[in-house]
Amino acid sequence: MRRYERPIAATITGMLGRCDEVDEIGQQVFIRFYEALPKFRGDSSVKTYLTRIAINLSLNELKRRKRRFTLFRPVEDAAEIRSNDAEPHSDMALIEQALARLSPDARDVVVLRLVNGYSTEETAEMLAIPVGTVLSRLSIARKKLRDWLAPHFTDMIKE
Amino acid sequence: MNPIQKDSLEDAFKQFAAESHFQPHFAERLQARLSALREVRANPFDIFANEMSALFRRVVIAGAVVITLLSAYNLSSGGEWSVSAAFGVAQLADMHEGSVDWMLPDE
Repeated sequence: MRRYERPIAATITGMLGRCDEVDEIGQQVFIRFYEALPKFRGDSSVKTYLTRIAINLSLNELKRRKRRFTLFRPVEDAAEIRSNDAEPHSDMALIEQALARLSPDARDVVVLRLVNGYSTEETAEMLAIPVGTVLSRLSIARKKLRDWLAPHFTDMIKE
Repeated sequence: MNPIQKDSLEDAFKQFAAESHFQPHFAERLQARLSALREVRANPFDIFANEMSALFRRVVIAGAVVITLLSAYNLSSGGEWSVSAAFGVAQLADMHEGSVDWMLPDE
């Protein structure tokens, strides 16, 4: 379990930003896996399976947040507010802020490809979308991320 | 703002992944939750019995409150201090007699 703790934390933090829900969703991921264990056939690796659960639960949380916050504040993610308030110049906060600005569809691709280091094919399989869609979403997201992060990170224009 | 040296966008995200973590004692807390889950699965009727007794407790408390309030009302409106007055026996008898009077035809 400890082996998968950090990649799952990275997946959920990438999707939601650093917030209280990260820990609870992390617990839910492992509980869901434990419950699904009798049905787990081993077609995919444990890490892939856990990551898929983490992405799905994070997307649910984003939908829940959107429903909850739409009436009260215009910003979709609490992560964006938080990273503006706390340590705004740290690398972690800058990445978090940039991820929060992406749409959930683009964010899950970026989290799987760039944060977790999965291949394009693995990402496509996990998100149940075509490889071409992964590539196009990633290309658009990379461009946006470069635009947002370039002022803070030098030597970033490396393909 | 001072620019931070980074080889590439990928490196920045790798660093982000490396710095991500759950709150302390994540594994221990998870272990405790899984143990509780296993316990519930092993004795599913225990949790059912607990839920039922909790529900019953609420019903009993609500009933006791209603009876106390009604008794207080009966005592204050009857002007007599007895158990039968508290339970409104006198008012019940009056109601019963009244209804019989009304039903009986005049002679």
